[in-house]
Amino acid sequence: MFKYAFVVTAIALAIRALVSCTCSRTPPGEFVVPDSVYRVTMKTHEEMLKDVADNLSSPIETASLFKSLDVPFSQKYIASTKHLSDYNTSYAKAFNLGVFGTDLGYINMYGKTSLVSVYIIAMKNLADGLNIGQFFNYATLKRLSDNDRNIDSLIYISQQSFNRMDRYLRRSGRGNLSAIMISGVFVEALYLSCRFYRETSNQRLGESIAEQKYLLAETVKMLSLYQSQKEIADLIAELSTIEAAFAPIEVGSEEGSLERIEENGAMRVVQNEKTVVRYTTEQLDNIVSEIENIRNRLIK
Amino acid sequence: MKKVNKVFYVVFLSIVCFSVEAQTEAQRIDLCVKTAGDVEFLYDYPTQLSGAGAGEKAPVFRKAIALRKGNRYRFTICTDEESAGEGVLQVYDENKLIGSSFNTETGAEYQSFDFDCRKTSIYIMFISFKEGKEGSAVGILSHVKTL
Repeated sequence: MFKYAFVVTAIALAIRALVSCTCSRTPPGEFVVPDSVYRVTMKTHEEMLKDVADNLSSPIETASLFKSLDVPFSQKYIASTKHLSDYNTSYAKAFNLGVFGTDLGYINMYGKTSLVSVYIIAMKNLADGLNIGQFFNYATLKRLSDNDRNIDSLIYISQQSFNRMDRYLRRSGRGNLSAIMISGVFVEALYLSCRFYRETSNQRLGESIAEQKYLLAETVKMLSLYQSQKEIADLIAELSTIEAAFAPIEVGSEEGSLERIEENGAMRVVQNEKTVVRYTTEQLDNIVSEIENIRNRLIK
Repeated sequence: MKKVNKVFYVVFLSIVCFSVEAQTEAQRIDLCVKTAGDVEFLYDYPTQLSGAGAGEKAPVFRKAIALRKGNRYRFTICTDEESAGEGVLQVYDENKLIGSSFNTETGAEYQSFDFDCRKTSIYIMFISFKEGKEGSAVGILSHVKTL
């Protein structure tokens, strides 16, 4: 038996060594951008959306903006976990998993580790209900939440767990649930922005809300891939109300060239083409009211 | 009985190999995240591509990514030690090259590059390998700060 084991192991290692053979490195100057790069970029926007863009809704940038504006942490605005037992359908589970994902990102960014365990328990519960609990790294998150010095790791593991659940849903033919979950993240991030805008009337926050018009449209397009499903059609109808509130806002772009700055061996690309938004206070107030109503209705 | 032992051993070996492979990928991602520096992690892209045969198009991994105005992002590429080809990460805005980990004109290579985003849009990220060789690498998207 041992002789046989040795032979099989040796063969396996030899195959692995052959497969992972490291060949000579290419001189930098000989690199040519593959033609397929150019071919692929010619795909239509709609075709690319079928792959579903990553980072369509990210709580990290939203929470980072709050922090940069010195907006104090406010527990009263994040979603309560008390309705957890009412989330009985896959749709409700996926949507609220997204909502809690945003809240966890917000909590992590502000280092409020005492709240983390409540949200990771709720998220694990919902993830298990969708059979994706194995991708939610609950044990590590729980351990990290016991120490205030682990904020960076908490953000990393939270984000990675969320990404893995999302990717698994897409790969296992449940892209509809992924789309709903992403919508939950989007709605909650927009809701938090609106609440803090209402409180502070901060212009930068107002601009960032208005700029979401483009990504809201992309989120609705993503959901439209599954609009034959009643629950998704209902969600699109809710988001269409928000889209209607965004409709008067003008979003355009100002031309500008790219700057490439090399500092201490590091490369930074500065984009001078920029998004320009035009809106009135009334239009923004209308969006704030709509998103508050819809979000509160959807999480019940 | 001997046959059962053989089957058991092959299954056991397959499970061990798979576990080691999975662990290695997780470790490679962790290392690349550390390489990205003091940033907030957003996404990882472990990429494995086969080489292009003669006259064939080089395989490319592509992913659409939404980036928001007023944020500095960092793109990082870590080529695996055993990879035949060297990984290159590029970001396009439609057909316009925004940034690349490799400058074809100067030959300069950057494990990371930052992007000061001023236009909220869907950008396309590509990971490929020099000369269309087969290879494996990890790409990382992270958030550096609000501008």
